[in-house]
Amino acid sequence: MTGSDAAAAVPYAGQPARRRRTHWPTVLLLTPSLALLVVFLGVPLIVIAVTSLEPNALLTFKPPGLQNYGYLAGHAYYLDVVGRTFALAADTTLLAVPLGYITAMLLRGLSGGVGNLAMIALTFPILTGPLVVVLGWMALLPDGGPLFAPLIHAGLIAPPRLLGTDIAVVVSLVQFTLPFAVLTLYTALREIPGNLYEAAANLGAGPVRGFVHVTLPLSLPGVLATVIITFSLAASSYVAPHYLGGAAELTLTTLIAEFILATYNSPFAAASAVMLLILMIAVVLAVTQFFARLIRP
Amino acid sequence: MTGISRREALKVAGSAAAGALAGGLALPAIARGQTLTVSTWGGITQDGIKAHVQPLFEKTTGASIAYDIGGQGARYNKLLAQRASPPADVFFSTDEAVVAGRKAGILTDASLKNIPNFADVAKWATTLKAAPGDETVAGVPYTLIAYLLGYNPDKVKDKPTSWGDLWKPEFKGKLAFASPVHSAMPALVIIAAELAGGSATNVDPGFKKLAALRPAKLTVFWTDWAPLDKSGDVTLATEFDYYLQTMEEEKYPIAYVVPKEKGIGYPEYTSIVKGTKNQELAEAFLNLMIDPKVQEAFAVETFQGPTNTKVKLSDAAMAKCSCGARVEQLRFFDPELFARVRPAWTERLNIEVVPNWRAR
Repeated sequence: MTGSDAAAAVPYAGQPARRRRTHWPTVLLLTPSLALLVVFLGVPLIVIAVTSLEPNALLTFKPPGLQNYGYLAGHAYYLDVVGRTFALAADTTLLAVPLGYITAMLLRGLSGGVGNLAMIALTFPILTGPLVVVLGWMALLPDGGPLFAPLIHAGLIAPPRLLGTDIAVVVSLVQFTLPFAVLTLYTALREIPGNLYEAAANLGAGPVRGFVHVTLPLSLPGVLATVIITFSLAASSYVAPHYLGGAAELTLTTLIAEFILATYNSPFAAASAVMLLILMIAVVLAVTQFFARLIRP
Repeated sequence: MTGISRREALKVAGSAAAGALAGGLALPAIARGQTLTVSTWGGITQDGIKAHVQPLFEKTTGASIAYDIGGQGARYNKLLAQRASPPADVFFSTDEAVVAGRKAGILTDASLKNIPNFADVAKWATTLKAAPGDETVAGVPYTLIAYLLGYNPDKVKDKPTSWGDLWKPEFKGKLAFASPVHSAMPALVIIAAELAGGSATNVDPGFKKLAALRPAKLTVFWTDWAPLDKSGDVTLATEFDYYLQTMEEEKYPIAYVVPKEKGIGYPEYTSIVKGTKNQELAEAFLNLMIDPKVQEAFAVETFQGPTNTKVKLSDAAMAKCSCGARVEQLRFFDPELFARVRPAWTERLNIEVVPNWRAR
C-alpha cells in the first residue's frame, strides 16, 4: 500500500482537523523524554549560563554581565585554545570518517560469523571506554616505549616525542571515534537496497561508477550523521587531551576542568562551556547545511 | 612485596591499634547510630583512615564513617554546589584550600575543647591562622608532606642538589615538572623568582625563568610520569616525597633529594564543613587524626610525616617521611598568599610560560 492509498482508505484523511488529532499520541509519547531533557539538560544549562554572567577572581563587575565572554574572546591565548579544540576535532573527523567508510564497506561484504566477529573486535574500544584507550597509548607512545624504543636504538628514527603533542591526541581520538563512525556508516550502507546495485550493473556501471552514482549519494545521510557524531565526540573529549596532550596543549574541555578544579573559577568555566556549546552547534548547523546541498531529495 | 599487600597490612595493623587506643583514650560514645561523612582522597589516605582511624572512631563514638572520595578540586566543588545540604562533614585538603573554602563559606571553625591533641601539634605545622576566638581553629594539620626533586639514579651521573638543576642542559626534554594547576606551583614561581634575583613580592623574574625550562611532561599526580621514569624518557622530576618513596618501594628507578635551598613543606589539613549536623563528631574525628598512635601508623605505612610532637618513630621509618631532621630542611609558604594569587598566577603561567614549553 502506498502513502496515497493509505490516505484514501482513511475517512477525512488529509483534512487539518484529523491531522491535529493524530498528533496527540505522539506528543504524549514524547512527553517523558522531553521532560527528562528539560529537567536534566535544560535546567543545568540555564544554571551554567547564569553562572557565566557572574564576576570572579580574575574579573570584577556588577552582575549579570557578559564581561567573562569579552575577557575570554579578548585574549589570544583563549582563542588559541578554542582554535586547537576545533582543529583537533576537524582532524579527527577527516581521518575517522574515510577510514570508517572503508571499514564499513568491507564489513558489509562479510557475512555470518566472520562479520559478527569483526564487528565485536571493532567495537571493543567502545566497550573499554576512552580512559583505557588513552592509557594504552600512554604506554605505547613514549620514546622509551615498545613502539619506538627498538627503532630509536636501531638508529632508524630520531626520538619522535609524541606524548604531549596534538598528534598523540588525534591518534587516540581517531581510535576512539572510529567504531562510532563504522557502526553509523555500516547501518547507512546496509539500508541501500541491493537491487539498485544490480540495476546500476545492468546499465553498464562498473564498481567505481556504481560507487560514485549509487553508494556514495545514498549513504550521504549516514556520512552526515557520522561527521556530526565524530566531530562532537572529539571536540567534547577530555581524557585524550588531558593525558596525551597534557597541560601545555589545553583544549576547551581541559581549560574548563582547570577553571573548575584548580582555580575554583566557576564563572569562567561556565563561560567556556557555553562558548563550546554555541560553537559546536554552529559547526553542526554549517555541516548540515553543506550536506543538505549534496543530498538528493 | 610478598605474602600480604600494603592495603591488607593497613587493615590488620589498624584493627590492632584501635583496640589498644580505645582502651587508652576512653572517649564517650556520643553518637550511636549516626554517620560521619569524610570527604578525602582515595588510595593511601582513605586506606590509612579506614585502617587506623575508623575502627577507633566507631568504637569510641558509636557513630560510623562514610566516605566521599575524589580529587580535592572535585570534592571542593561538590561542597560549593551543595552548600545548602553539605554532602560531607569533614574535608581533607591543602591549607590553601582551607583558606579558599572559609572565604567561600563552605568550611567552618572547630572547637579546641574537643580537640585536646591539638596542644601537641608542632608550631611549624600550623600554617593557618587561628579561626576568630581563642577556642577555635580553622582545621588541624594531620600530616606533613614535602615537594622535592626525584631523579633516575641509573641515568643521572651527578645527583641534583638544587632547584637550579632543573635548568641544567642535561635535563632539557627529560624533565617532569608540575603542571600550572599543581598545588606546588605558586611556591615554584617564588623559588624560580628567588633563583633569578626576584622574590615573593617580585615574581616577574620567576615567570621568565620558568619559561626557560624544557619539561618533557607536565604532571599533577605521580602516575602521570612514573611510566616515563621507567622508560628513561624522564630523568628528573619535581614530586611529593611520599609519592617518591612509594615509587622507590615499588622498585621504580628513582631516588630523591631535598634541594639545598630547602624543599617545600605542605601540612595537609582536615577541617569541618559548614552546615554539618555532626559538629561534635567531626571534632572527635579531627582529634583522632592528630592522635600520636594514628600519626605513627600513617607515617610508617603511607610515608606521610606526623605533626604531633609526641609521635615516636624508628630511624628506618623516619628516613622515609618528612620527619625529624628533614623538617628543618623545608620551608613553609603562606597559604593565604597562595589562595589570593593562584587564579592570576595560573593564567600568567598559561599565557607567558607554557607556550614556551610547548615550543621546544
